[in-house]
Amino acid sequence: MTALAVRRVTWRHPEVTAAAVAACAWALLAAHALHPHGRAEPLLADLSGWVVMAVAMMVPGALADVRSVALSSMWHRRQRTIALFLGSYLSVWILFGVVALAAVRILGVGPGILLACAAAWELTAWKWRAVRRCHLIEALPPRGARADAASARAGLRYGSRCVASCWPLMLAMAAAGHLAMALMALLTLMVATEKIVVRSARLRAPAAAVLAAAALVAIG
Amino acid sequence: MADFLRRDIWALEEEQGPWHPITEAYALAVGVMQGRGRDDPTSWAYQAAVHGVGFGEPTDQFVNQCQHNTWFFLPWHRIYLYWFERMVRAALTGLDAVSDDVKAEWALPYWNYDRGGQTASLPTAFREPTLADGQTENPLFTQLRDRNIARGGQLDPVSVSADGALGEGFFALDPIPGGTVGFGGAVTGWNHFDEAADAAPGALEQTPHNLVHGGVGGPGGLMSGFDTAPLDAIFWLHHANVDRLWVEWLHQDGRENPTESSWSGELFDFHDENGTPVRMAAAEVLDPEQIGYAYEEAAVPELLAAGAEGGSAMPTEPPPDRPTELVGATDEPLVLTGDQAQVAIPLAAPTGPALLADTGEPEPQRVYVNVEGIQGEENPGLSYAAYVNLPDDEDPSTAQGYHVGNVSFFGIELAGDVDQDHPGGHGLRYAFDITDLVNELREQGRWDPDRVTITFSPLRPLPPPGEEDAAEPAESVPPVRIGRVGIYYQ
Repeated sequence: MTALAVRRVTWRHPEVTAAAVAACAWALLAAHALHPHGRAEPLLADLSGWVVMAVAMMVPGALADVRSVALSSMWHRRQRTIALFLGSYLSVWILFGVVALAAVRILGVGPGILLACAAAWELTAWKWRAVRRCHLIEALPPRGARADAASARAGLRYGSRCVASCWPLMLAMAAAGHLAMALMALLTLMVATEKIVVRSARLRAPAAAVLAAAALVAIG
Repeated sequence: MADFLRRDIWALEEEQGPWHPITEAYALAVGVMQGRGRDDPTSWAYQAAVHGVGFGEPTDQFVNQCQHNTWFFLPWHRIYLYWFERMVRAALTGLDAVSDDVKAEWALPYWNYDRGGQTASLPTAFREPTLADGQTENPLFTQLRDRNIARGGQLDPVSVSADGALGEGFFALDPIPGGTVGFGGAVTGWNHFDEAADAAPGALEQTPHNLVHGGVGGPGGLMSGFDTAPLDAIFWLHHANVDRLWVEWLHQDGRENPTESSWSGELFDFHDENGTPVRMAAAEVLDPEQIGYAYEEAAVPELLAAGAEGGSAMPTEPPPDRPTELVGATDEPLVLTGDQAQVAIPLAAPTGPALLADTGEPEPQRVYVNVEGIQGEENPGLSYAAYVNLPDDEDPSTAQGYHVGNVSFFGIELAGDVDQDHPGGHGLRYAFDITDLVNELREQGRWDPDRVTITFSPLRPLPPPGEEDAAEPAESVPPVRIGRVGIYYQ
């Protein structure tokens, strides 16, 4: 690929940097799953794993919206906007992870039960309102500290709506752990599809069925 | 030769008064359809639901299907009108009051509001509470309209002009941030309202389509609401005119429909006049004569044919093959409450593709105004004309050289709606190509590359001549919020 072709892709798709970060997260998790090593302190290890997992699972579904906020920014601010938006978005998921990891440890709930809860959640109106709210992103100011603050606020709102939509799925992942690669891949696909597909509420029944099946497998 | 001729409703009125047999037959057939139950696909209520339904109403593949902010806007509405027209014709067969000649030849009239004079006012038959006998309730009448329009007032000439739309050179363009999308709408997949991230209205959908909806309906009126508009009988005549304008646009040199199968092959579900499900694609309705009708008048407007412009850019070349670049925007949202408003936008020098250092081009080839993130609880029933760098001493109504487009609010109630599956994530958005105006100002030494002003001037229906304005007082106009006004170079 020539430099010109690369430039044309990055011109139109500034979100490739975010996609690359997500790909790195997947590679890191895959390497860790293939070659697990000693874990000094389980909760800390879980938390660092959670951070990488949140990047791997939550960035792919957000790429279209990341592209949208970047393309509507001043040209020289595009990557800065992406960093601020994604950084605050992921910080919401990291905060959720702290609570979720502690909760599943204290309660001792397995992923099977939580996947069954996620299946039921897919059938509620709350779930789909939250999915639709994810797309409500306000136009950003063009420059300066106002643009920085608005980008970060937009990411926080995006993250909180994403948590409202996907919390049962990620609670199940907190129980399953960041090395459960197959489940992680399945849930990433579901999250991304629900966010990207037009009229995705049509998928509520199949999504619930898939999660119910996953719950049965996990309960074994 | 087409089997049916769609005629101008005002021409019918000029011939035989408000109750021309074609108009009267329409009123009687609407009455028949209004008498049918919602479960009957040929009923008035069901046909309105095909366009859109409110939250909680039952949906299937036939209802809540209208296509807006997309390149399917024109073909979907053509098919919609085609089956509706057949239903009206079928309803006439059982009516003794309608002559056999009318039954055999009846076709949906169109409302050409852009012929000047009284044609910009609602045809009389739609304003009368009773039919010609003075006693029978008139199915074409509703009180849920703008107060001035209901009394015979006229839509603002800026609201009804199709010159800008007819000047567009391309049916559809791939959506780009801040850019325009052509005559017929953005290239998207199936898009009822705002499902596609890049959904945006084409020039014809913007003006006159959207403005006539708001102007006729007024605040809270049937025509102003996305899910209620087809309940007003004038809706169908308005859309027949929009359909006619598509024919007119194609009559101009170099204009053509999309050739992509993703446009021509997309199938839409409807019912025929017997209530039997049918599916139809754009490929089957590219020319009205394919489905048996023609328009009384669909000539190329003289001014446009002669090369004069209607105040809008007439691109003869496609936009350059590079992304747009934001060079300035407002910092704060702008709330419009019925009065004139102005924003000043500081501009920065482009630093990306529009810098064009490697192409040797001295200036950006295209300049766009982008009005985005438009949200509000309800359509205020008025629109705003947008002007670029309007001098302080100029009256907007006489400063058409600075007019770049119109901002209207049809569908705004859905822009933040999360109860139904058509999320309006970015709110309504409009883009205007202001390249010609910028070049003109630049040649005159009046273009400031560091600053631009955008003025929004309200467009309301005018009261009937000699009568007082009955418009809603300014304080009761529902506010609308514009998230950002930006300038893009390409």
